[in-house]
Amino acid sequence: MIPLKARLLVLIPVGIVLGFLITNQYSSAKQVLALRTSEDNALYALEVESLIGRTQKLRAEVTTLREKKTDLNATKNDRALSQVELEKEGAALTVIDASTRVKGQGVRIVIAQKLEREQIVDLFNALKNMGVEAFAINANRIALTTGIRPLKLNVPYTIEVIGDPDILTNGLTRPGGILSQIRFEAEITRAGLSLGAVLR
Amino acid sequence: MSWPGENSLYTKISLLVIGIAAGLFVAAQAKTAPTRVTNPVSPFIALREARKELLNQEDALNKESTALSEEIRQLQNAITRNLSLSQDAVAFVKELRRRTGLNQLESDGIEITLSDSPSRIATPNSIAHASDIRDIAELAWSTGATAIAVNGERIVFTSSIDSVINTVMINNVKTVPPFTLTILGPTKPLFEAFNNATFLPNLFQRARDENLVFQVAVKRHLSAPAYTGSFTVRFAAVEL
Repeated sequence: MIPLKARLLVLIPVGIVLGFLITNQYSSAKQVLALRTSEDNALYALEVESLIGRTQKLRAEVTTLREKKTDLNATKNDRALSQVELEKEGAALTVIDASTRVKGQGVRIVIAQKLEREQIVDLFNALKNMGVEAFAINANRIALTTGIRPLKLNVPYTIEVIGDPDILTNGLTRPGGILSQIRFEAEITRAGLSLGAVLR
Repeated sequence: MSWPGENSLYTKISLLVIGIAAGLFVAAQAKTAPTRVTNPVSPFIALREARKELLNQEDALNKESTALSEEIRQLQNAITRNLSLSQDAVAFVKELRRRTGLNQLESDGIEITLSDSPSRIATPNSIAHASDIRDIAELAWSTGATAIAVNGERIVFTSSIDSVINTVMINNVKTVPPFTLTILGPTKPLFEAFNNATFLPNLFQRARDENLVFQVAVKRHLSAPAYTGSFTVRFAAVEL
């Protein structure tokens, strides 16, 4: 006959183990239920993919901004360096403003099929998302305030884009990228480009 | 109750060996990293954790980027206050800052409210999309707009307007409906353009059939806030 004290000593660890298992099962069941009931679960993978791209872009941007801040700090109390920084800012802003002729590395995109206006809007938007610095379509330089409607655009479209050639090429050609979304085939070549100023 | 041989040395040694073997087995199981993902819930939990971590990183990077942009703007403003510099160059840069969206602008214009249908179950036609905002911006620029802001976020040359799941991302800032588009520029042409169904047929059809909210109003003394980011030019150079 096993004494009562010994039986109790056995029951305590058995109870602890059972309690642990029940708690664990409850918690797992809750997790499974949450996954089954949430409408967002199927979108997590997409969101994570988008977040990875965005954080990479932000990291690069922050690094550039830190360098810019260091350069600007060095100009304090130095007239010559201040003048250089002012000219650098002016040059960068004339590029962004599209008010001057620019040159640089990038890609040339040739699309031989007719595009709807909305498709051109989406393509331009995607180019901006890829960090484009200057671009033109059929030799019309595009500025912030350029609308597509007033442009007289004929097929084939030649879109010349100055920006990081790697990012542009990958962004344009990847599966699910803008060209596959607007369902058009394009000829993309890396090129040294020269773009005229916007006509105002 | 007891069983025969309960207290024999053989029984005790056998139980001890079984106990040690069980202990070793349990410990080995606990210590061994699984080589395959067998729990169907694990990848989802990992994904959710990754999303949370990335959102935190994005938030921190956005804050750092905004703070750095502000510091850079102050340093650049300090340079343009330097009276010993060429005042022509200073005036030129100030004008460029205004034209590229780095200053707040005020003028008359129109205000557009765009939002999901309040009375319909969400369908692709009853909700407001990033592409709707892009189309509105394109029509506004084509009609002579001088500045556009969406929910307080200024549209600049580098701004892309993207759909990210159920939000819209502009200048790395997430925003959700209702969208208020502040459009500065000539009020009459802008108001007429946005009341002409032939210019935005899809939007007008969804507003009529699906109750998508699309309202246009002329407003006096509108304000388009300054862009809080900064421009980085690495590949393009002015061609002399």
